[in-house]
Amino acid sequence: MALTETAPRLRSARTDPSPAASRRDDSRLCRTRTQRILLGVAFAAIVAFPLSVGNAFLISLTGTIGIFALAALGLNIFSGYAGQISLAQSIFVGVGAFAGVGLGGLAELPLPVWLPGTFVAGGLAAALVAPLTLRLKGVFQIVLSLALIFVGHYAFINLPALTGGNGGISATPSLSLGFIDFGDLIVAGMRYSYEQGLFILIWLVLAASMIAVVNMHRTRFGRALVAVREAETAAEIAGINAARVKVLAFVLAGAFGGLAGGLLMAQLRYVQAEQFGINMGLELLIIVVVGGLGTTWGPVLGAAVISSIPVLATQYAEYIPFLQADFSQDGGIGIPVGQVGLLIYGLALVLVMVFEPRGLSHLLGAAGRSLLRRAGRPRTAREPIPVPVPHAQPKDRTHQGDMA
Amino acid sequence: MMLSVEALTLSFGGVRALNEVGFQVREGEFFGILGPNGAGKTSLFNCLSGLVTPTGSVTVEGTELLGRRPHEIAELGVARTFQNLGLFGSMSVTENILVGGHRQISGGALSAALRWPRTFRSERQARERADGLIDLLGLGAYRDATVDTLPYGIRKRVEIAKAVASGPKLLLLDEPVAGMNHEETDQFVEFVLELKSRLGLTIVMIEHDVPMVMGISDRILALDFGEVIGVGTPEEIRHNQRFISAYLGAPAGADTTAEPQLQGGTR
Amino acid sequence: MTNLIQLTVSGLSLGILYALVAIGFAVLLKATGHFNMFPGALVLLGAYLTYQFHVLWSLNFVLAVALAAIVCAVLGLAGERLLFSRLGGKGHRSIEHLSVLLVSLGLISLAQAAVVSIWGPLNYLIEDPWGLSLIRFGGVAVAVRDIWALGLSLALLAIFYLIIQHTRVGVGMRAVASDPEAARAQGVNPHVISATAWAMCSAASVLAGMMLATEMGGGLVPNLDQIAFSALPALILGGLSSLPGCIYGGLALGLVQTYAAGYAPESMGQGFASMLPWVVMILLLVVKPGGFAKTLETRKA
Repeated sequence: MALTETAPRLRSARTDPSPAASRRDDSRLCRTRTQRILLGVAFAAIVAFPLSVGNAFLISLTGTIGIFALAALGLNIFSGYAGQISLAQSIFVGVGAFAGVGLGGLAELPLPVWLPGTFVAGGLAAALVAPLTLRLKGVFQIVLSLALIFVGHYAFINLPALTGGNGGISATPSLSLGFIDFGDLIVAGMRYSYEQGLFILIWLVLAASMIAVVNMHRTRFGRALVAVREAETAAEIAGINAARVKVLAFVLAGAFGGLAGGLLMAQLRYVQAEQFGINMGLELLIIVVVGGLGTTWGPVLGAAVISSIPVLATQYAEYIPFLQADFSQDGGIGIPVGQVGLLIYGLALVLVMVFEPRGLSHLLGAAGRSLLRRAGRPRTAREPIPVPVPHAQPKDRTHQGDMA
Repeated sequence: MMLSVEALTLSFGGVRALNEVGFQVREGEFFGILGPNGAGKTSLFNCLSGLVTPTGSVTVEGTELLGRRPHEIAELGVARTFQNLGLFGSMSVTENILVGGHRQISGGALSAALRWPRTFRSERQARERADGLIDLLGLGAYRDATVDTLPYGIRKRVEIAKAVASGPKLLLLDEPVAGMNHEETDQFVEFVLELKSRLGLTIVMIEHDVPMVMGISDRILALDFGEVIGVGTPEEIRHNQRFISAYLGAPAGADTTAEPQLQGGTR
Repeated sequence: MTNLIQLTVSGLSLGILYALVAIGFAVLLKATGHFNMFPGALVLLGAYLTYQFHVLWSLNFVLAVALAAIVCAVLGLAGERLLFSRLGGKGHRSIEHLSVLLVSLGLISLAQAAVVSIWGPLNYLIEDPWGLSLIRFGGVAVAVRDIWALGLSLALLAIFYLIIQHTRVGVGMRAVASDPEAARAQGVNPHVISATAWAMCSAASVLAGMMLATEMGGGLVPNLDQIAFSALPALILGGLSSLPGCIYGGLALGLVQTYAAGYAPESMGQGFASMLPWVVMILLLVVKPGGFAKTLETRKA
């Protein structure tokens, strides 16, 4: 267990640091040229996909996935990186949706004002509540988030001017940005549907948000979040204000939730308070967990799986055995299509927690890496590097060399 | 005066962990703290770190510490290692050191999200400083390794690297050589003295290993049952009656194996 | 004045049901140290199973309830052995504390889907022996069901108290609650403890579910589990792991809600009564954050 490997002296000669491209802690967004290319391709795909696909069902579904991925992205900051529990993300989605109604629908403000406004609204709502979440741990957090849902719901139904009370409210916000109107897209003489244009808006916002979150994660704030989660006391001793970090995480979660709510409102053009309760809250938490807590792609993967399967099941019910389009009175074998969602959520959650708690992101990542290895590509620095164990042979002073 | 402690008293429900403890540490000193188990050494450190609320006064370069939160104390230039190693297991060695350097990096969540150039420049500089520390402590081979996977000795080094990453003036070491054998302890002594002179630190160290502390310290504080039983140079402490009896027990129960320890010295 | 008394009586009746639900959660919390939401599913399943046994298979009511409790206990225990005990220590360290919660939430979703699949989405009557009959004292009406609910709850609580304080299993349960490793080292058999805990939890939950599904309570509905969650403030109000606390908390919760419904002015808006208990709970948590949870203090968040 020698403190220094080669000699008791501290070495002053600088060892050659690993090339930045393969450093695990590199804070650049795209670490390799391949990633840069893929990023460009992704942006191109976001625009190309809806314009080339005519299937309204598919466009609408993928739009919904994008919205839920965005809400889950927010929740991922709080639950994933910071390790706190919240079932109440749906309330912030609701705040955003109704803020969108107010700013975009009623006040008819332009897109660059009302959409960021939903982000701010969600953040403000979270800031109001954040001090509460600080003082509570474990059980209490769960119960607190349930309380938030009830209180939020109460607030929603008692502001009928903004929310339509119990009945809900419709709104058609503007989707124009400069000379592009996402709601009425005309490209090269072709007119595209509202949903097609909205898809682009949703996924552009999602992409920008994901980039922002990755940037945060790879710098001081992201490290502070993880540190506070792992060892709060040690983090404080190192100079991190744990309370401030946790509050900020919660505010960000609310803000991205609000943004998602705004887009949801734009998609549905009719929202009601009931949508934003425990069912959505649970769905979002499941998305984050199934996708992979604290991972970059977790929210997207989780949303893709969790949001789509019930919708697909409904659409293709007749082809799937055991599924019934209608409930039959004799209690025979069959799952009513309306319950498929719950069934999927339940199964997904249980299976993931028992078999791979780190979620789909890890599963796919590991599978991908083993495929790459078989293809002979060099290992990226994403994995922990196997460590030589010099202390096993104290007399052997050969330097193992940099493994990076 | 780097550190000044006056009338420090700490009670936990009836038990008095520290009773009117007072001492001073000069800038650039290596100050050892000795005492049998339960003497209040870790409690003292917890007071210095802001983890508990005692009465009395603790000042670092004139600024009062008591009543401040731990992260505020870190801002004042105080760093600390933990006996149980306060490392962040799922992060890499470099990331742990970067967390240690938290207060030296500028840029919060928003500026990071927007890729503010100043923030990323600060990050790059932090990485360079971390690289420097990694080299200094011989951790180059483990730069990207997940801390949880590393052997104890390496983790101890990471703990120290993390602590000095904040550029502190005062470093508190909590039983750094626990579990080391004689040879390793000697190496550690050399190493920590060089680190101290290179980084210009004042060090306060808690340890059980009496000869080691005697050998390395400029001055020593001896505690027993939460009270100061002596402050002074190793020579003075060595001849302090209360100290001897605290370590050897009652006169009739003289522990012969302890005696040679008091005479030894590794300087 | 009679209005106040009537409200009080109604509030207490509601409170007893909340208390029963809370006891189900509290027993598990005490015995396993983890917050498990599954009792919510047992409330739901217990009510539907009672319906199945009593109405569809024409068994005696008491027998039906008892059978339902047994089935639920088995389900809970199966969940414990097959699922809950496998969590913790696996994968990402930081979600250990979430694991039990999330799995239990998943199971609740499954239970709800199962209930609607097997029995359908409509409301049913479980044909309980009390129906809507009331007894009147002066100007105040008390439901016969509520009298039985009170009696049965107190009896149940008395039995639980005896088990926890005076049997070996109960002592073991308390030991596990305060220090699981030491308890195991002392030879406390965790299987027996958890079996007992799930049996107790199931008894309380099924009783509560049955009561909630009576005609007086509004009949059998597929979202009984969500109604069960409304009882959670009772758990907090009464102090997390204290069983008598559940009674106080539940009664307080019922009273707060009923008084609010009775006295709150129109201006407080819709749904004020059901929201108020949660606000009270939040206030309590702020004033005394985690202050009651002696056994949970040492558990990492």
